[in-house]
Amino acid sequence: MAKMKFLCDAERCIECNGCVTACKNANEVPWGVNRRRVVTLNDGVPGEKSISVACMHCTDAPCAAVCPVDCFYTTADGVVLHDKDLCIGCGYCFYACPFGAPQYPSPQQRVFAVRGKMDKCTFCAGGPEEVGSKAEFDKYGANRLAEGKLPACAEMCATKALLAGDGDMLADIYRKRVMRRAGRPETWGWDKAYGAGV
Amino acid sequence: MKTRFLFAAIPLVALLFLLTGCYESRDVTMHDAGVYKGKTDPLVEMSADPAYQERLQERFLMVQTDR
Amino acid sequence: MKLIKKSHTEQTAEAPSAGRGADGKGVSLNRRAFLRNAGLTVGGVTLASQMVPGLVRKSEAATTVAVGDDVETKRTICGHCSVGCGIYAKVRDGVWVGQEPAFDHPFNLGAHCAKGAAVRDHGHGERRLKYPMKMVDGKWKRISWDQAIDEIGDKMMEIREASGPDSVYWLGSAKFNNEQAYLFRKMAALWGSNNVDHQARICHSTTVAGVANTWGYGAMTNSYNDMLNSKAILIIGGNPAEAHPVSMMFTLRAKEQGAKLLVIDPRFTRTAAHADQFVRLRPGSDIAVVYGMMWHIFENGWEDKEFLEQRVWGMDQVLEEVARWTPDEVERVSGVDRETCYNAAKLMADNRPGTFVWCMGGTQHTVGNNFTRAYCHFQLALGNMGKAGGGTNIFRGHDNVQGATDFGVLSDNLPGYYGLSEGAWRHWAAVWDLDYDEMAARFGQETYEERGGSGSKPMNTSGIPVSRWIDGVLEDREQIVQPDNLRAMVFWGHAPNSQVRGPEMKKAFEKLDLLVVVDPFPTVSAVMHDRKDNTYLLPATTQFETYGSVTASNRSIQWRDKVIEPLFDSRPDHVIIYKFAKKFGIADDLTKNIQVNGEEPLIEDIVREYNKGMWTIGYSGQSPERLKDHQKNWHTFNTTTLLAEGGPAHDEFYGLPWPCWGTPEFKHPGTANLYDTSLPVAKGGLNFRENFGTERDGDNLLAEGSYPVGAEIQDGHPRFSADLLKQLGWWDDLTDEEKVLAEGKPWHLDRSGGIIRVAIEHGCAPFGNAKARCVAWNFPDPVPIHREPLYTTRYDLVEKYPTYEDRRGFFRLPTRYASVQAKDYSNDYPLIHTSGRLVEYEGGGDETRSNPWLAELQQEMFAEIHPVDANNAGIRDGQDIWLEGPEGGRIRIKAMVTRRVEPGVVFTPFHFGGHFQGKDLRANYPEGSDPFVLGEACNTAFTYGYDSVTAMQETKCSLCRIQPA
Repeated sequence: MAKMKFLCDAERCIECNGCVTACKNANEVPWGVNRRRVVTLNDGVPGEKSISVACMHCTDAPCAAVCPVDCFYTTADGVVLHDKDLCIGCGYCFYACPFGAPQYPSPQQRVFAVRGKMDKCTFCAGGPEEVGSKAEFDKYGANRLAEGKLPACAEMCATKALLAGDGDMLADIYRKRVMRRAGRPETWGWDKAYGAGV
Repeated sequence: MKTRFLFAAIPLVALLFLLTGCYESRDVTMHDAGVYKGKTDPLVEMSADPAYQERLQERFLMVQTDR
Repeated sequence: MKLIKKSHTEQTAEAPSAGRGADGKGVSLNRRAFLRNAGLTVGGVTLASQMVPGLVRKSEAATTVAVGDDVETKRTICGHCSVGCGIYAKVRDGVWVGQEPAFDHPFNLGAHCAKGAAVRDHGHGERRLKYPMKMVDGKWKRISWDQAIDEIGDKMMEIREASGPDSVYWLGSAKFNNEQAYLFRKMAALWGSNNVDHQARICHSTTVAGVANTWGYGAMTNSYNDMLNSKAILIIGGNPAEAHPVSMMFTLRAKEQGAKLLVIDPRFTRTAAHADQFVRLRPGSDIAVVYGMMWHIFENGWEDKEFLEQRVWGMDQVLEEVARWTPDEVERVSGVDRETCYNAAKLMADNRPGTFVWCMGGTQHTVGNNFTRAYCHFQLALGNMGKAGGGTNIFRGHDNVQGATDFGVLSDNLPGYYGLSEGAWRHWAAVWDLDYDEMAARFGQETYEERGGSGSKPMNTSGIPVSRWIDGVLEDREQIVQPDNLRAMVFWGHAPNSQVRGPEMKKAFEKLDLLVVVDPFPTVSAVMHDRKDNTYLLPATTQFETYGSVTASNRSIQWRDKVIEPLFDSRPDHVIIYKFAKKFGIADDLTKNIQVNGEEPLIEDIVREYNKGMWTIGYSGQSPERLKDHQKNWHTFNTTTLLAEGGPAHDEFYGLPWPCWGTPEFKHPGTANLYDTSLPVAKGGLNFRENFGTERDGDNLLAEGSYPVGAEIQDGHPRFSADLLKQLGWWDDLTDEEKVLAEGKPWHLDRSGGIIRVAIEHGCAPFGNAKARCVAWNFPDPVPIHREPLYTTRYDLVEKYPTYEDRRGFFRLPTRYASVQAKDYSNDYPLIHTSGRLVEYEGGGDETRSNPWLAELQQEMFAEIHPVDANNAGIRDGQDIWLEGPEGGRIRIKAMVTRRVEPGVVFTPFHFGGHFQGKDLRANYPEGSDPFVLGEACNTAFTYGYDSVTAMQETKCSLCRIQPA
């Protein structure tokens, strides 16, 4: 059984925000809600690295563990989803999430047809409504998995830094890339291990 | 006659209305960590289907090949 | 991990509680209503969108899922940068409901940047200009198309009567498709003026001029895909991680395969963050650094001697100049020390083939043409030209800036770079099937030698370039080399905030007798002035509401489907062109060989017409049928070589990259990498072009011992002509029909294509086989040299490296150099001001700032300031500041304190507009057409300064001072 995961390759990510707008486009995510964000460390100085972050679809999801109304569930391939009809928008999952994934649109923003409820990345797998229905799209966004497609963010990534799919397959791709990079003489060696000039 | 009936009906309706406001659902959702209490997502069943899994694998290979 | 546990009651997972399910249901989201709110919170101004009944239905339909039998899939190409990413657009009932990645597209393989991943919002167009508008007493009023064309046309004819055809300026666009660009240039020609131009002037004009004058064609020589073959990638004055993000897919993959990435830039860009070596130079000191590297290359004997001998002329003269750039002098001028420069040179010398990438950091200078030629010389020295993995990969800007340039939407050219000579005009008159004398009669008939112009007529004189339109309006009439000032401006797909000298521009806008904006958005042209009347806005469509071809940076021509019908009351550009032509009475001439349906000239017929004239650069073999075949078979092309492997386009390069020689029937596969002698010409091989004669100062300018594989002339040779064919005994290879048209003609004026066919059948390049020339004797600086910017912080260098003398009659205008540099501004304006791109926006940004998915990500105009400068000026991160340029233009923006820039350099992005010198102009937009995000245009503070060959504006080094607001 596949386990759906995201993986962002920091060597490849160029902070172009393609994943962010791909998500907005596929799910019609309104202004003010960002299911996915690109985080940059050491901005503007050598060592600058960016990664794209969204809900990581944890196997033992802390959000689900703390939810007072038990609105979270997990699909057979490991996608963590929630029921907005049940969600009370309390924000407890925000405490629990290690990645800051849950979003709480302001009461004025009737986001995804419901105000104040938690919204997060669905791995483009919709939610607990009839697959492909208008109700599902309005509340949760696209259900690309049901159409045999993967999340739009990873599918559209400019440099293929962001991968989404079965964890084992991601690992294969990433391992091959790392091996290829290892072929570069400056990737490994004395300088990298001990620092230049040692 | 008609007016009298109306006079009787108005408090009755008002009473009913007030009582409606007093109704409280006893159907409460209590916390039970890890147990989902929401609606069924048809995708959960779908995702267990090997054909569905295979389709996504094929898609993955198409998406990630040659780059 | 269990963080909390509570006892459970009677609930089960399958039974949702009554009442709870209801509160989320039935509340339908009105996307437009929401966006209005969002615009309100963000923009801070209450402006209701114009509600269009049809649109509400559309936006509701758009929220449904994009699958099902009733969903059509269209193949289109992203309308933002020049990479040319393929897109699958999903359309239901005429509504663009979904966007899918095109994994089988040979350029982007499904990948997109923020802009590409957000193009579907064009299908909503909530902030578009929706109807023709006219300004009446300072207020926008909706009018009909007929009224608009009538009133504008009458006014233009009146101006033409009083001041001549050159007083109306036709400013075209890199957002046209090829057919529209061609038709636009043709319309300007029939109107009778060379006052026609577009953004290429302020983007890569110095590249086109510099590179073409080195080896023949002024375009990207290889392709984005070909960078996978590179062992080294040098990027100077470019930030593809933001400007061409999808190209980084190839750059980073090449790097993973072992290629070295060298980035040379004044800023530590997001591209530099991925570099193996980053070299920081002072803005405007490219010559010092490039010659500095060449100094090491020749000092150490790393140059490719055989290549230089066989295929290059004039390097010895360049080396005299290089010799002056000792490591000490390089460091004094550019700040790059000996070791850094040596390492950079060695990196490129050790890793061949290497490619050389540049963008606007290299072009937008008063000496831009010098920079671009020096880059070419560097590649020639290393023998990196004409090779897979090598080349000068010049990343163009807009999606069709290459095509619009090729089709001569330029004040100094006709389609196909034929120039403006009588021979060129006669060629195109013949292609158009029009009488040359009749056409010539429509132009002004005077000459202006006494005003510093040449003795030639306006028809044969370069018009005013877009970079100087302000001066065309404001300059003293006696100083201009045409009868009168510009009195009417047509901004047809142009952002004025992408141009320098804001305060003067405002004056120019206000002085115009007539201002017409044709654009999908109102643009800054609609709002930055205080005009009261004679101002019109005409809604054009985007390229998603029409169809046709578009040329990517690598010269590949791609076909776009129409995705949706025109939104609101907008019209495709070629329909609007036709409307104007009809008003002027030139429609029949314009479309003599082109079928017109209603008011829409048939795109395919336009392609067939230009196929018959564009011989110089080989836009002649790409028939609509061939282009559509390529579009339908994206998946058959190899993503490194771009060659189709099987399928209907077997053995052809994707998009038939020009030159695609001869007629469509000749079936040339296109040329993926220019000047590559390892392939036969018939299969996309080439050599350098003979364009500058066969001899110079007694030296042979023809190639020696170098020729494409399979060439029957195994040495250099001049360009082909009827005479040369006869001398070679190849004349009878022509058919009888071909002989009629070819008689007495050089290869590029032979409208039968026969000379080209015969040359190629004998394995030879039709344009001859010559050396690249390193000395452009027709340029102000034949050998590229360093000259200090007009506004410089290093006034101590001005004496040794002064700018040019002032000139008269340069593109019809007096042009100042030395008189500007005469004053030292660096005490009052101590910081260098430079500009560049952000990934979310493009160009002047009207389109992208109106896209909520993009606008949300970048809501503030800002300046990057080094902590040292910020502290010296008493500025904190995030604070509002005033940035003022030495000509007095000032902008109120946010400070971003960062080490991305070095001390002494301030960087601003150039996509913002809608604020002017501290004033918010949101109220000036037509209701509901204001972009979500407005901000100060950095160019308001930028200053005077134009390239000495092309009149490119200087936006990469000016001066400024900053203070807290």
